[in-house]
Amino acid sequence: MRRNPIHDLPGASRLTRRDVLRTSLLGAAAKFTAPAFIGEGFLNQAMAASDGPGSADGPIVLVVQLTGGNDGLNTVVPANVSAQNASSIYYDERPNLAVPASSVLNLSDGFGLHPALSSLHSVWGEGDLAIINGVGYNNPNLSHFASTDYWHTAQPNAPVRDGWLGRFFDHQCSGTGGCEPTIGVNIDSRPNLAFFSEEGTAGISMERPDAFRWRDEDYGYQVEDPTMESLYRRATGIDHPLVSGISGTDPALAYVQQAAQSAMISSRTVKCALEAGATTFPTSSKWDDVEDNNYFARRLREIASMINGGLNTEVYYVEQGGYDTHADQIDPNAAIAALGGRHNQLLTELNEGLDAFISEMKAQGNWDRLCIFTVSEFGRKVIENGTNGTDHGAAAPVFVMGGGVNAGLYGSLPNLNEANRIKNDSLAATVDFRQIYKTVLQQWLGVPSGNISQVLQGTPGSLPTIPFLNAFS
Amino acid sequence: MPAPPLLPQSSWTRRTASHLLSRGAFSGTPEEHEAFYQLGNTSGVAAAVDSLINQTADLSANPLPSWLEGFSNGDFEGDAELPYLYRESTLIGWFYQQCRHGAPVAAKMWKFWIDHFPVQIATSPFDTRFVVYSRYLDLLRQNAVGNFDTLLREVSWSEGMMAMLDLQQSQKGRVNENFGRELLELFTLGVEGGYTESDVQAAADAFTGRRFRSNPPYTNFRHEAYLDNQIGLWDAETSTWHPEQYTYIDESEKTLLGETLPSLERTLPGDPRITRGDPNEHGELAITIILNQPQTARYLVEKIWRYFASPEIPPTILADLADRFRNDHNYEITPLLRDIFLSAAFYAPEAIGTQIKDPVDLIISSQKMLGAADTGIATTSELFEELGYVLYAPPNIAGWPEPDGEGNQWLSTGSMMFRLNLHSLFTHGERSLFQRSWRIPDASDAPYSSEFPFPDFIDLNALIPKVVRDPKDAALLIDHLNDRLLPFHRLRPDQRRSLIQHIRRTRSGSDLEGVYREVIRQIASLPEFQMQ
Repeated sequence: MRRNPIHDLPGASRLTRRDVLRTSLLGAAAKFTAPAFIGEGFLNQAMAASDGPGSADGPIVLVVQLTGGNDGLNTVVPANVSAQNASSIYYDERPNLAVPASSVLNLSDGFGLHPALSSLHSVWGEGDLAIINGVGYNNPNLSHFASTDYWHTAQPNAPVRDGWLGRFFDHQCSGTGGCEPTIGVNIDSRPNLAFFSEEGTAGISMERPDAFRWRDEDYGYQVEDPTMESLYRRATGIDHPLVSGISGTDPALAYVQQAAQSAMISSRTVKCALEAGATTFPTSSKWDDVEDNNYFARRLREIASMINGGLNTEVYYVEQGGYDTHADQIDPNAAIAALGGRHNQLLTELNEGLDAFISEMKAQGNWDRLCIFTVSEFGRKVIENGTNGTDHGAAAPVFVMGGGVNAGLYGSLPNLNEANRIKNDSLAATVDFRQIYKTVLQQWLGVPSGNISQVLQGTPGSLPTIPFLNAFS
Repeated sequence: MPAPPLLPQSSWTRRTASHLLSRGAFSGTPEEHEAFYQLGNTSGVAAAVDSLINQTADLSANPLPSWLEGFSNGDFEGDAELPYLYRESTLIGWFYQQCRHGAPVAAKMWKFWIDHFPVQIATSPFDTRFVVYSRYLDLLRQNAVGNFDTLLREVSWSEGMMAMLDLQQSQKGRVNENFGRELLELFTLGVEGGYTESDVQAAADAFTGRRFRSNPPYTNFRHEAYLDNQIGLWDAETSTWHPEQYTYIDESEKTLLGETLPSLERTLPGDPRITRGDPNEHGELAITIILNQPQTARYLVEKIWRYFASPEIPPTILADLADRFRNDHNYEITPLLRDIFLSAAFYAPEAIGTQIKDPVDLIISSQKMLGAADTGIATTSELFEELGYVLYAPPNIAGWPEPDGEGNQWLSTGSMMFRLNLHSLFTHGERSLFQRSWRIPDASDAPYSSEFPFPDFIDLNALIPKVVRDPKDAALLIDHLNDRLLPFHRLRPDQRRSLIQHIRRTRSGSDLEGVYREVIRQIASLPEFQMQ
């Protein structure tokens, strides 16, 4: 399949990348070639600036994607929820899989967290965790790939090819003379559809910041003037006064050329930030407790080091994979089955990573700048399957954490009753996920309500925000 | 159904010849490009196409890793001292060698199927996973340019895929939908391919009860047990096989894509007549129904077209090719490839030089164009890993990104930086490119491993002929390197000028060879080098 299966909808009219380039090439290229943009002066200016896009003390959003479809019912457990018989249905439908009510970490209204999420429970106790129940969208698609795309584009069941964060970056960067690609950082070796936009120039994806640099060292000849790096930058069009370096006729080549320019430019910025923060990181000792094979925590640590170095990034995006728990979600041989198995392991790693990261942010004094929230392409079915696991479902809860959060439970648990389920035992959404996006954009990232429709294209303007988040100040 | 319009002989040029050699194979040296062009010129386009697709894999030149051949009773017995990472590297090395030196079309299709039917090695039990995964790779290799019907059925019975998508555990009343869903969504019809959630359920039900022996008495890698998959139970307690236990099979009537799978009415309970290959088995019937859908052929043809040709297949070409693939070729893959490579649409001007190389294409075409030595098992493994291609660990069941141009998912900013730096390995021996140099090199890794002294990675004499080696001839040299390294693109005048100036600025007595190495690196690092 293609990564963006929405391309293949029959009869869908679509903007091709060629069209996009035809209309926006000049703007995009101009951004990259404007000397003010790439000069070191701009970099230092941006890093010293105290406000505007990409400042060193502005708001930061961290999106945590739980890839594979997290089982919401075993994460925020309806342990003692009498309304609509939720608890009795939950325990009836999951005889082997349910988290016992006696094990959960109590929240309120009869809900409890999976016991692996102890640090999130502490954040709850400190008043910095909001949980929104029943998040999804109408007519859910149970394919990982289609549904992930919908969460990325924020346009469910529509054939679009740009992402909500890419449109946000365009919004932030237009009319300001451009901004650096590092306004958005996706910690992944693969790109993220959520970062795609018509301008296509802001936001970067990389896995290891320390290795993210042009190799130009110790070859022992001719590195005075021009340096090999400057020769190469000029060849790609970055420092060239007249040449954009971006093909106007071949969209695929243009894409690679933009990626090369973005890599050359943003790698300098990242290197600068890592060097700036090298002597003061890490601040929290909790990183020492993180298991070596917790790759999610390792990625959070990289993000923490860039925040520490003052990188001018507004949105970080990180993924924890493995949530497609069709089998061995629990361990039937464990004393308490739901406290063993893969889901417990995943939540333990999530908990451990977030614990160290939050502690680090507090020690750095950056906690009040942060809004962390989780996304997942779907939840899982109400019923357990035959292999100690759960199959693809629909609505599920979302976590929001940060200094500006109004703690509490929001949304509502979908009716678990068989008659109310959709798509073979899945839960119908009670909250549209774009309400979360809208709230974060307006309250935290400062997008004026009148501009929300630019970023959340196709979202009905009437879709309300949810009061889980104060305005960033 | 007639074949799509053919490429006219008059359109066979050095450019179209190089296009076919880059897409249908892994590019080549300038001499190979020229010879291929001349073949099509003197013997006709069809002869050139056939010379590519008729090459057969020579396994003797490309043997399985030797430790696989002697397997007995699980992976580690007898070879317990062979480190895990070394085993992984040798499997990658096996794949790499086939791409580097084997039958190129078969290798390209092998790569396609590894992506189409991706299996993560770690979904199999620890003590048998190398047997299971190696067999799975071998199954894909053996059927790579064979018949899709056969291939799909083989995959559906393979231990690798059964473990990957939980089929091994799915049973009547305790159904796991994973395989049924991906069979429709990813393997045959495509998302939005005209099936419903109840078809997903029916497909999942149809494959209940399939089992392989999870702890089999392997006597060696090619043990017959491999061909002996059946429906039934392996009782690990008593180490006995119970093919008579049918309770795991959902025998009831099902409706899949509007077709009926009749109830399996048995005269005797436990009648062991339903085994692999029985056309009445519901999994086999389900595949037959799915293959009868025109959409299945369309989906595959579109995907294969994107892989070899261009992101958008013209609708009439799609209709022709899909119809021929299903009705005329009976899902035989080689005739489909022949149709594609002979078609004029494959050589459309906007298709040529506009595909972003995937990691395997990039490494192998670089090595061929630069005349660089083969990389060994550890070096190759690290290169592929840095570029996002870990053979035995696909990112998910949708496989790796496709090499199409629009919003190409192979290229993140980070992997782009690695691609830009990559050629410093070949030109300057830049070993610090690898952050995770924990793989264990063996003799195959010379000269790239740090275990060995700094060697000539590239043959500078071949890359820079004597006649253009004087800095006065810098313009000729740059044009020569342009032809060699960027066959589909011309350097911009300012790029050409600045490289020429760079050579001419070299002071007498300084390291001219070092300058040439840098110039080669600069050209190979240009974004245009990422295109084929």
